[in-house]
Amino acid sequence: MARSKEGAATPAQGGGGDSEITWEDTAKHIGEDYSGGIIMVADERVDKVMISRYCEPAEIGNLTYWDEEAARMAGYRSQVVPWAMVKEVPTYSGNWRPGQPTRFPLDADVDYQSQLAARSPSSGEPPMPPTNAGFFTDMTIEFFEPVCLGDRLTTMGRVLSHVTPKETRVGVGAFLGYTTSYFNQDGQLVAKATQGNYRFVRKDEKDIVR
Amino acid sequence: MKAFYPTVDTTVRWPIPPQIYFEQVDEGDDIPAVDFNLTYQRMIMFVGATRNYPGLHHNERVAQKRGAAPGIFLQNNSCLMLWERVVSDWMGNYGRVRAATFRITEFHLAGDIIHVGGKITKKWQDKGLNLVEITMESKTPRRVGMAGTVTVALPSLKYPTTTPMWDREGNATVVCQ
Repeated sequence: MARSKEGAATPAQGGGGDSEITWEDTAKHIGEDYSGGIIMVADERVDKVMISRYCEPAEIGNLTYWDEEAARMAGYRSQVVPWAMVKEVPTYSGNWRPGQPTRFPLDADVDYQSQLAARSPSSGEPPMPPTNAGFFTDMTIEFFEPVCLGDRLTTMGRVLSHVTPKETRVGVGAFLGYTTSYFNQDGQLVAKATQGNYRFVRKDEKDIVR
Repeated sequence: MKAFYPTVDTTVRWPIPPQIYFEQVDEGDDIPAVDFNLTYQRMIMFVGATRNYPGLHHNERVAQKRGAAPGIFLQNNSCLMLWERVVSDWMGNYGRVRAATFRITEFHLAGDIIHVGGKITKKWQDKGLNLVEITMESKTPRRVGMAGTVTVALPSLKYPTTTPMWDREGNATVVCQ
């Protein structure tokens, strides 16, 4: 029998929950850290290919991202990671490594979603009502020390920052936010981000306002 | 058989673009907008570039069921990449982004042309930095898809080749005013 078409949803995609819990109960956990004390060290150092592949789809042409000499002239240690990229690709912990089991079992169907690399340290979530869908909604990010070629980033913390119940065009649920900090190999803070997502019970298709 | 090795220095050189300075901008100024055509090929390039593989961003069935979306849509960081392009093109080699805040309000779908532009809504000096706040907006064919601000530290004409740097309290660590 093939594995579920839905496969493994990421936490932000909803699923689970307790019908005895309200969003007001969830809000009581604001300020608590849901990283489990896990310190995630990126598996890969920043390299030129990582940066250029990132810049290609949106055709980002700032020369400090492409040319080491231009970056040094501008006062950087070496070629610079685009600001939008800082918390995304250089924090990568690997989707598969030697010795690990396959992420793509033979009994998985074509829509199966494998559990790939975590994007931030996580030890679960606060108690919350049942949801069956979700997506990212918002982010506030501050930047500090530049991230350059050869840097290796560490990701720490996942503190619940806000819980805002709301009915939207697509469902009924709440906006949740978590705050995470990013450091370089010298312990310097490079960025601090609060990311929000909407966790909700999806409305019937006929009730969704497009 | 003789092995082939590429030359040691394969660096490609590009012309240095014009630089914008703090003294040259005012509140109310628009920064140049860019239109992005989200073809399916480009949507998949975004997925690969961010290494973010949930089916929401490349599988129509998953996007509809798990994301309540009409079809595959850009992941949040890919939406931010559109702003990265517009802002970093404008701020030049010597500008640096201090902070960004945004909210996604509509799916960026395959087939959409997304219009991204910004307006300088605040200009000030603080803790040794020359700062401007740009109010940004991404417009999908249906409605505004993403809105927020990007705060940029700009160089000054007095120190034209000094990139602003700051510590974790936001205090300038190089002289740029």
